[in-house]
Amino acid sequence: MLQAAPARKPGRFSQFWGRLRLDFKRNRALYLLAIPVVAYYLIFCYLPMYGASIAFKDFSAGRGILGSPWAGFKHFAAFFQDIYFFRILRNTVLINLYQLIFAFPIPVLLALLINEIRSLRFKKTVQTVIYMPHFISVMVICGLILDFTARNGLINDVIALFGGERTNIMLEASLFKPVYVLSGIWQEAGWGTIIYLAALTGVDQELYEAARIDGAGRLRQMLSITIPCIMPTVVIMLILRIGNMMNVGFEKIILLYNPTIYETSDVISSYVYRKGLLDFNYSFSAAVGLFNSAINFALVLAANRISRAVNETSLW
Amino acid sequence: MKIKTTPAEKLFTAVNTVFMLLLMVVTLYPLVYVAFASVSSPEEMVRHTGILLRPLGFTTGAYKMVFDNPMILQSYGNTLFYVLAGTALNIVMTTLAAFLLSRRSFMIKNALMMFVVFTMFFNGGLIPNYLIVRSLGLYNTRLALILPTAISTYNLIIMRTSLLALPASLEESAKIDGASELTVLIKIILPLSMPIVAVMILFYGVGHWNSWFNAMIYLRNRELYPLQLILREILISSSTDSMLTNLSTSVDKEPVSEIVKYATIMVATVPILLVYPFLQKYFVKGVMIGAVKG
Amino acid sequence: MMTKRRWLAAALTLSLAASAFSACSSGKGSASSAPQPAPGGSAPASSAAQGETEADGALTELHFPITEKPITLTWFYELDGKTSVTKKSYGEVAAYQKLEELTNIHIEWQHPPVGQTKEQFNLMMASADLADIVFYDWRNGYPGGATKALSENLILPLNDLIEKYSPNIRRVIEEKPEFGKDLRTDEGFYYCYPGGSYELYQRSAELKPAFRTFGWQIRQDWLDKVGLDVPETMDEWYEVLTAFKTQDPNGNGQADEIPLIHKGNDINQWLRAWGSYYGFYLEGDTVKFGPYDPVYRDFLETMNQWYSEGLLDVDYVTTDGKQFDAKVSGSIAGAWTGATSGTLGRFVQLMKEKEPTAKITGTVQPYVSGGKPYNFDGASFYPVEAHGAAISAKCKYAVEAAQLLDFGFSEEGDALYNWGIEGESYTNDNGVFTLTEKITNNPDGLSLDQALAQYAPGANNGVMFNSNSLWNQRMWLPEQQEAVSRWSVGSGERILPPISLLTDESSKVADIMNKVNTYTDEMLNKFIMGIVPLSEFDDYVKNIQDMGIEEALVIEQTAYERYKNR
Repeated sequence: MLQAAPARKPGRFSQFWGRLRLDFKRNRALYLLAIPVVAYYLIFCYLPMYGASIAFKDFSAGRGILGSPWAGFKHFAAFFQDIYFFRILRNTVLINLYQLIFAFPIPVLLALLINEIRSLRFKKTVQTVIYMPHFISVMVICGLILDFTARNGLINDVIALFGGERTNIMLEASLFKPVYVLSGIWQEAGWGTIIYLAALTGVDQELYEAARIDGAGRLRQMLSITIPCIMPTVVIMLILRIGNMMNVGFEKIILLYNPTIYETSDVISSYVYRKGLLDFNYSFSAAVGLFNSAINFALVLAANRISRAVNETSLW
Repeated sequence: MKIKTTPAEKLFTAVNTVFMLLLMVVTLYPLVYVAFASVSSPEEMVRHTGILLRPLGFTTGAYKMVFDNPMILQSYGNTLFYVLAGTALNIVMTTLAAFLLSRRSFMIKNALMMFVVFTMFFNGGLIPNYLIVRSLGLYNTRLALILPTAISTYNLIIMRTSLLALPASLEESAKIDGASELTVLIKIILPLSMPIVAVMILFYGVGHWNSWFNAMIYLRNRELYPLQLILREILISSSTDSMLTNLSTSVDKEPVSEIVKYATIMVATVPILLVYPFLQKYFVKGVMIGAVKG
Repeated sequence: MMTKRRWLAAALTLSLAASAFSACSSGKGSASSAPQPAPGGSAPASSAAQGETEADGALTELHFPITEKPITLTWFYELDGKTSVTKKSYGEVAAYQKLEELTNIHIEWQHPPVGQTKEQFNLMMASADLADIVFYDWRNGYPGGATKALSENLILPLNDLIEKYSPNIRRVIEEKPEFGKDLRTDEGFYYCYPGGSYELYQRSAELKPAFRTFGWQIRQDWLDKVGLDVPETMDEWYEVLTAFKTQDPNGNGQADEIPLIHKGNDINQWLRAWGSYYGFYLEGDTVKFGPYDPVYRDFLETMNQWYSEGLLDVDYVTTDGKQFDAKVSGSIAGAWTGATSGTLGRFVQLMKEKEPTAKITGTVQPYVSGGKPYNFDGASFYPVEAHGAAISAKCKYAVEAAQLLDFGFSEEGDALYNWGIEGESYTNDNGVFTLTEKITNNPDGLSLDQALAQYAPGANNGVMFNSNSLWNQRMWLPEQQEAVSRWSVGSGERILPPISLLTDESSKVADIMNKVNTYTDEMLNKFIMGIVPLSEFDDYVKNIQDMGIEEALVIEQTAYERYKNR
């Protein structure tokens, strides 16, 4: 993908402009309509990109982004030598790994089961209910988690009911990731089924008809028709997920964690947030952010390539 | 059905039904718990341990306090504005962009696509974005929560995929009739794309409803705050002097604060839960269109 | 592949074009090239002409309205909890409304979300586009402090403005040079109008101020029940807390008492018992850093012991304000620390209704046997310990702002800011000011401070001197009087005075201390909770050393020497 471009054929450039001019004449209206869209991206996405340069500078508020002195790779070096480097890297990757292992397959399984519900009304009710948590704001979810995990919260009440010992769950470093991932499953697993259920409606009903006539049971049908039919969708979702392996949204993290459990809860994005916004170390946090973006980009390129090889579809 | 269902299949259906019922209970119970707790008597709630199967006593004191809090209602109104105005702009911009990117005859559509996708991975970061918002004069205005998020590239890609699925012949015949691009978009593409538009409304709407970070960094006038920011103060922030601490200990002299958070959660959550089932039939259809081709 | 390459090329071209575009557009607006208004010079001095002036053009008193033409100033100011109970903004507070009316200056209040002040402040500073007036903790809140903000041209040096347009604060500085000394940086600049400083600003050798706003609090009735005196030394504290734990002082037949509760890192306040402080402090003439002291280990050991014996709330790390209140009001908590009115006064009044037999009192600052109590409540000793109002370098009306901010130090401003509106929130009987019934016994059930906050910032930080007599009227509860007198025992000699760092020093120290503070904050609770054994204390010290603490200490020491010689 990123090999050097071969030497251009002579005249290709002017050819290009010629075609562009022609296209502009033909699609004048489209070019006009493109103005607001391009303007939006230029102003709010590309214009701020110059700011990424503070990763290579010693940002000084008074001098602004452009006027700050260059610092080379100092902040990158500082990050790699940071005593928290391995911790936040490990937490970021582990949380993603857990999500991949536990959170990713559940919507697929749920979709398969929901697909087997014969009563349309019941099916719709189930769907309505399990989509619901998706609409609850992260703020409320975190408020609920903090409340339920407190020493006198619901979860501990249940634990105590079965003779267990009450603990303040949010003070147990080893429990942060399970809480994070499980609450994520509670909130998003139902919603995640939508895409698979949608894919399932595309399955040709005649296939089932034929299978039934051949005497295939429901299990047989599921294994040899349903699953193969949604496999491409599963693979695409999986690849998209892998392309996101270095991302953990900071919002839920910073709303939930506390210094005692930073050991297992601090991730790259929350560290960037603290370093930048709270410690005023914007250059450092920009460097970490850039590092993260670069890895994500590489992951997506790789995922895209694999995706094309596997099922001949790609993101672009 | 010509084929008879076997006992094994009957058993499967039964087990599956029970599982689905359990799933619904697990999904709903936390919300039910909150609903019960929000109307329970605070004293009993403090003493109570374990799951709640009904409210303990009945009082609406917590709700009264929530609605007495001037910030809750005000911020509720603000959030409604951000959701409505923000989503409207999102839909216009996203539809426009998706339309452009799905024009087969548009020469620069691929370049435009790359131009758009690139922003998903690289951005300038917080400070430059903040500076842009300030220099545009959007800082501390409602527009700061609407303009910078006018298009979500992720949503744009979903919508474009769905538009690409429409038969090309449609627009061609319209073009032959001499219709302008805008007419094609409004008269032909849009009516056929209502499901995906509904999905977009839902995605963007939920996004605006949930968003708080931009509000936190761009707003300083409390009268502009969205609901989530106030929720943060009530549910998360551990500031001693939080509004509710004061209210509960000085005004009512009752430990209502124990249950106020539950009432707050109800007030902040129930409306959206009531609205979304009405949109559901659209978005399921819409996601389908995106998914089949996607 | 062909298409792909074309794509990439196009994208690159576009992004290059975009960055070029952005480069020139932002260059124009960047802070570095923005003209800096000469202090007091560039703004139209609409009022200077009409006021009485000395020969050199300096005002001798403020004249109202400050400006004929109505102007608007923005003011960044955290909305305090006492006001936010009833008001959405200071614009609704009577004293500030009166201020606008008087000065003809409209104030656009900018209140960051509660708990997000630091984020908003940092962003504002990073953008170099400040509100006209910024009320903040300039000494500790901005990495590098006021010196850095001055050197980066973000805030104005106020020397000229004070000289010419702030007659009232100028008078105080002339009369009490010590006050001026604490207000200035080492480079000789004034940078803020101090907020919530003290009327009786005079430092005797003993450093005994009138105000004590923070300290240890304990259930007196529980002490009576277990037959012990108010604890002073750490040994006595241990005895008391153990008795609270084991003797069921709340009498409900269950051992549900939590002898000592805290909110998160507040636990570090116990370090003061060893004469040390969680931050920089002074021992003799040497600047030290508490979490790096050898005694820090003793402190951790004791807290760890208390924690493991159940004397200290096992959930103290995650305890928030609401849970804190619930533990006190539920008669589960025996002792805690907090403010005179926000904690002590509030709880006393709350318990009166809930549990009339409950009695709360203050204790002297705890100290280890053989030591003596120390007070580290710096705000009681130095006027610019905490917050102050600085003027943005980009403020178009710096002259007017200087007069506006000076108002609080005039007689009229003093009355307005402290007491509010005459006839409504206070009565004036020949110079004797008394809060009205509406404030002291609010019909809506607001506490005194909350009721007063509807009228004036007197119970909070305002840009003014807090009135002594108002303080006494606010602290009218016998419990508060008792607590304040006990809290006065602690010596303030170990408080690091308001030193200031030079520009290079401040960046260096900010760099080091960011790392150190993150680390110590995290380790504090891990040691106490026993997650990390104390045997690793030496590694901990070593880590702090590696982060450069010694260098920071040297810089602080030099700054302290400079301060002494000011």
